[in-house]
Amino acid sequence: MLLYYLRLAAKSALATPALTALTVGAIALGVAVPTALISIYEVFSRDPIPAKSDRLFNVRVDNWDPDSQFFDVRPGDPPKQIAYRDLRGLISSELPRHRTGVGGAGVFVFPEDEKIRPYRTIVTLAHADFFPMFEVPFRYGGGWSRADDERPARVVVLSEEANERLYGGADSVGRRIRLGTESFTIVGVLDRYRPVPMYYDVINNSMGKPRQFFVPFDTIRETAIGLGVAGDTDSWGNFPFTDPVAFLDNAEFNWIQYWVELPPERVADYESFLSSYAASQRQLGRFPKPDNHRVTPLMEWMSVREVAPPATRGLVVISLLFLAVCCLNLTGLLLGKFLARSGVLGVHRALGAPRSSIFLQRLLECELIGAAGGLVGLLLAAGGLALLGRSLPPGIGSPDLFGANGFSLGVALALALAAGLVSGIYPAWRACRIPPAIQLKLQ
Amino acid sequence: MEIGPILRAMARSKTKVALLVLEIAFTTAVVLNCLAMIVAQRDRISRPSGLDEANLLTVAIRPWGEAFQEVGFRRELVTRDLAALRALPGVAAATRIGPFPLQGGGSSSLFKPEGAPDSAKVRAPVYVSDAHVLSTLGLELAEGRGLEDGDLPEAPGPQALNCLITQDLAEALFPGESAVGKLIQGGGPFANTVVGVVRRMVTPYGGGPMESRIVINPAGPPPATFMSYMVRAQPGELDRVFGALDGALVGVEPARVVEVRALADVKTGGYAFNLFLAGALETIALLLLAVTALGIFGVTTFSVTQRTKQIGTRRALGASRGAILRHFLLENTLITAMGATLGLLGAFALNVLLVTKFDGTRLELGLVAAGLLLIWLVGVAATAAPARRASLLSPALATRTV
Repeated sequence: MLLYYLRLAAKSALATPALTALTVGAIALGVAVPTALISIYEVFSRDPIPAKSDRLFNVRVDNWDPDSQFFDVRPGDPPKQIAYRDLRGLISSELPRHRTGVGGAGVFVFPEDEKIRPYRTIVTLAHADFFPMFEVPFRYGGGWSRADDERPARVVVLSEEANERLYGGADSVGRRIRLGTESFTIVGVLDRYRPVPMYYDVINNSMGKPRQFFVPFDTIRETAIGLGVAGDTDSWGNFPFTDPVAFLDNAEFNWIQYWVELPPERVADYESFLSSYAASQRQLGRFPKPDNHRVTPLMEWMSVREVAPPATRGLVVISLLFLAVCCLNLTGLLLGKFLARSGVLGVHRALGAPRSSIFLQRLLECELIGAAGGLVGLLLAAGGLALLGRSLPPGIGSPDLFGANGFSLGVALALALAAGLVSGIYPAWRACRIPPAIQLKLQ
Repeated sequence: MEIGPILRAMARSKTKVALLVLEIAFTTAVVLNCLAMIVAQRDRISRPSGLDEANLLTVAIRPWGEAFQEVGFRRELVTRDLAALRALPGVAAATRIGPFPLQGGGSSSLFKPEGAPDSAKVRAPVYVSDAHVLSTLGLELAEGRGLEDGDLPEAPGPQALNCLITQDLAEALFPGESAVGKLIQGGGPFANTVVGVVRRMVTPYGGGPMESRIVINPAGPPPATFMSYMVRAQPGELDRVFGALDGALVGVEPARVVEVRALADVKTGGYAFNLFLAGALETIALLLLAVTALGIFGVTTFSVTQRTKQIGTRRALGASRGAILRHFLLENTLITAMGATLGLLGAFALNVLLVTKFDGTRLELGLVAAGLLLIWLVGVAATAAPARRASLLSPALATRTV
């Protein structure tokens, strides 16, 4: 039965090829715009680590000036990052299963291969737990140990890209590379790793690639190496910058994102640890504001930082209204199309086809048109996204991030079928109300 | 005029009219909101920055040589670099400055008049530069003097400095009085003396009034890891200067990487999201108007075909070509008016949603009027061809096939 209906629907669609092409075009255009924008929004709002995003928390404490609200956060929120001094204070807690600071530092890389010119890069400063906590995949070797964090050992993990550039993709574990003034032992090389968004550092690099090098966090204290804090920094107070280590250890200078992995039921315990930490700092004359810490689940942190800017959601709303306009056009077209075939429909009715089957056949025809329009719309959306990807400056994302994928296909088809249904119901209803007698008389 | 027949004709095809009215209503609601946001984004991008944007180049330098550890070497290198840059043919001026204006964000601090309560603090982006900052960037001095060589501190670290501020910052800190000679306090223990007021300088910094409240401090010796210059080319010489900069600087000192960019490209990065938003909205608005125009065109063509006989009859009974043309244009205007009225309500409803939830832009009356005019014109344009065809129908048609 369904197959027979489908055949009838296809036949009817092909009977008026020009009108059918127009309707497919209308759906395609209507679907392409929201599909492209929803695909972009999906990239911005993706869960980058679905398996454990509910156990990863960003941690903030409030060391800020009592007289001023931190400027780049929601009213009442603590600063978006923490100071090195608080990193040292928080890391001692045994409550989290894993914990790491994430910071950036600029340094010169001197490749072993003399043919490659030295270059400056930003390395990620992290703790040993970074790798198991974020489930970072390794091609060769692995991360470093907590003991290496303590020393800190001169060890480094390379990204796939850096290993490709410096060692042609070979297993470089055990080799040594000079960063700044010292030589570091390569302990691991990452496999392909491209979290989207770059959730552990949305403040400096939310749509970028992971940095090329990862080194133990406290390497930043070894001033002779020549690592300099890089990225978004904020400070208040008057601590003089004479000795860099003293400055790191004492200044209210916020530049670190701090992450912990906790079972959700331990969050309350961790919060009370933060309260007592804040109290201890208040006794030292710091933390002038009332206790104001945050333990923010990963996905909530993405929305706090507006990784997907609200305006992109506005664009999605507008593009759906655009689809609605296309649907209204489509209703007009389908009405014309069905009524133009009222003779055939009248004969069907006169030969005993019930209204319901005429109605269903017409709706099926609309869905066929919808499916075709959805596929053409997906192609249009893919073209639009490719153009967009190339024109976007690096700040917003790199070209490889935006493109049509399985998700876009699903969106395009769902929108197209919904559009076909919504715009087809009224014309199909009109078509099934055609009185058989008049049509026969006119024949 | 012939409103009667038009209304009766419309009443005979309620579905068609209703569909068109709805379509125009949706289009009006969306296009008006798009227009508001497009104008807001484009205004933001194209507002005058106070800089001579078209002729400026940025130079970012990352040194690696051992010699850079020596502060004396760095200080002396800056002098040699700037001399080499100024000696290049086509260069009008060069300055040491950091960070680059228009790149988006940078470094900012809170300022207040010395001795004022902390509640008077105002946030302002801070740049450090030298005596050539005004002539290189093309900034205009409103009051006082520019920076001089003697203003540049010998040693790094906090100390009392002479600085420039923009007029907008001057008005925020010292409303109604001259800021020249006044002391302002930033984060550090020392107050800086305002020696000059710049008429206007604007840089993207996440929105808000701080974008035009700017402080320019005299630069101390450069850090060991990064140096940055800006170069102003003489008009028409930008490409030539662009090509010569890397060679000139590496010629002075080879142990460093030099990255040259046109300020126009730096600005594109600073306004990346605004450009993306404006482009997406413009595309949607254009497609929407095109789709609606096609819809109106289709429906009018269809009704001309349907009413061929009636049109012929009216012509035979003495209606002029103009009357037929007017009939269709008036019919379209009526439908547009109904759609636009409905759409106007929708536009305000949608606007409330966009403004409260999605960083939208409030509708303004002038722009709303312009948008309505645009939609009416699109309707007229889409009706014109079929309406003209109708007016050319021969009265003889009425006598045939009757």
